[in-house]
Order: sequence, then structure tokens, then C-alpha cells
Amino acid sequence: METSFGDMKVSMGDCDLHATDVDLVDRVTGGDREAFAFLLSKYRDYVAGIVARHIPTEDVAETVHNVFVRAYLSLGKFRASGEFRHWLASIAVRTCYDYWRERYRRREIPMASLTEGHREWIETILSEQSTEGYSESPYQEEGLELLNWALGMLSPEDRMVLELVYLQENSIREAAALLGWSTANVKIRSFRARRKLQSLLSREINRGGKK
Amino acid sequence: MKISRRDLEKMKIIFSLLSRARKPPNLDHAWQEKVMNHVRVLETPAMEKGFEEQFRRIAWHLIPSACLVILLLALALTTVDFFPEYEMARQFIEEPTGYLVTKILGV
Repeated sequence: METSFGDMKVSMGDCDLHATDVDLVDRVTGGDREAFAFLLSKYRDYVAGIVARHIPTEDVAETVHNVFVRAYLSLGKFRASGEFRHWLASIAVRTCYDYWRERYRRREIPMASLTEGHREWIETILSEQSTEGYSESPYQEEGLELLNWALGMLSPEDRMVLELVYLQENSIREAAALLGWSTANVKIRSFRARRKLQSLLSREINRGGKK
Repeated sequence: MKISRRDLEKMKIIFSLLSRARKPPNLDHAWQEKVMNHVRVLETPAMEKGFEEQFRRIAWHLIPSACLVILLLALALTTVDFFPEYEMARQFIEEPTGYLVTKILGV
């Protein structure tokens, strides 16, 4: 018997079509590695969505791969009392954090300064009353470059907290659970990271004004 | 020029929209097969036991030692004739001064 998840067909064997995540986890930890394919098919787009918000597009597929391998190796720690989706989301966020830590360690973060186009983008945004339409083309590219530049100037910790709390609007508690940090740590980091972003952008505008 | 809180809030809204607009790449069958091939060469993840179960497993190993300790204590109690209340009463009657000095000095 075969069933299909998205574009993939998976052999069902004696697997129940309505098997829950907990059943599948039990099967994998019981020695049936193929049952992991069901979890993979079910959650790959969900995990890819989380990873894509933190990682450059060219590295998303590899990072999602790492997330699932990490999840597979940690399946023994999964508790049936919790929700598998949340547990997986937490692994995805921590894998993204490790990705940035590794890149910072290898000093692979581009530190090029902003162009005149980016400064104009900031000035236009600040002078406009409404924010409507600025998330769309043709402003999108400059905006994304500016965002990536600003995030690249922060530490991996500040970067993750800023993305989770400030950009994705997770609560402090949610961000703390995803990162496995204390709520106090996330709160302090969030405040400091926002201040850093503010001073970074101010400095760049002033630099542009002096030229 | 310093960016005010209001300006930062305005930029935050746009950054937030841009951040959410990032589309993940399409992960196809080949990608999934690659992950499964990786998983197949890994060891089966063992279910981690809870504290209670771990304790139960350890407790069995402690039973012989516990029995031995109980046996030795029982033996000691039967051989050593030691009754604290009786000893104290005897000391008080036979040697009251010595008893009081011992009690006061805490020896």
C-alpha cells in the first residue's frame, strides 16, 4: 500500500493512515526508520518556512536537512505530553542559531557598508506618513538588503532575538521556549538589540549626510 | 540625525513584512530521499527513560547492599547492650555530680 504526501509516495506497510505523530515517533524509536519519512513529508514545508525567515535562501535546503537529522537523533527525548510541531519548531530555530554562530565564528558575514540607494530608502521611509506599499517591489530589494546588513552587524544571539521578537512578533515567552533561554535573558537581549539597530541605522544615515 | 522610536517603529513594520515575505525553496522528492538516506545510516534513536523508570532500574542493584546493611545493624543491636535512657538514669542515681557536670559541659 502506498500513500502520498505532497509530491512523494511513501510505502505504508502496516502503518495506520491516521497514525498520530506520537505513534510515528514510537515506531521510529522502536527501530522502524522508514516511519520517519511520514514525519518528514508532513513537516518539511513547515520547517522550511521557519528556516527561510532566518537563513539566506541558498542555505535553506541544507539547514532543513540538518534540522530533520537533528530531530531524528533527538527523537528519544521527545515527550508525548508536548506537541511534536512545537518541539520541531524549537529544533529548527536552534539549528538556525547554530548556523549563524558558525558563520560568525568563521567570519563569513559580509560587512560591506550601505550604498546611497539604501540611505535614500531609509530617508524615503522616514519622510512618508504611511508604510503601505513599501514591502512590495521596487522597494523590496533595498529593504531586504538593508535588513540583512543590519542583522549582519549584530551578534548571533541579538540577531535571533530581534528576528523572533521584533520581526516575527513572537512573545518573549515563545521566543524563550524556542531558543531554550530564560525569559529574562530574551527580554534584556531584545531591548539591547533594538537599541543597537536604532543606533546602527542612525549612524548610517549620518554617514550618508556628511558625504 | 538620530532615528526616533517612531521612525524605528515604522521601519520595523516594513522589515517585519519583508521578513515574512521570504519564500522557502521547494523541497522535492530528491531532497527528501537525501534526508532519508542520511537517516538510514544513523543509529536508531533510543527512547530516553524517565526518572522513575531509571530509579527503578538502579534500585534493584541496591537491594543486596541494603539487605546487608540491615543485617549488620540488626546484629549490632542484638550484641551491643545499649539503652540510652537506662544508662542515663543509672548514672544520675549512682553519680549525680558527675552526671550534672557532663550534662552542663555537654561532654
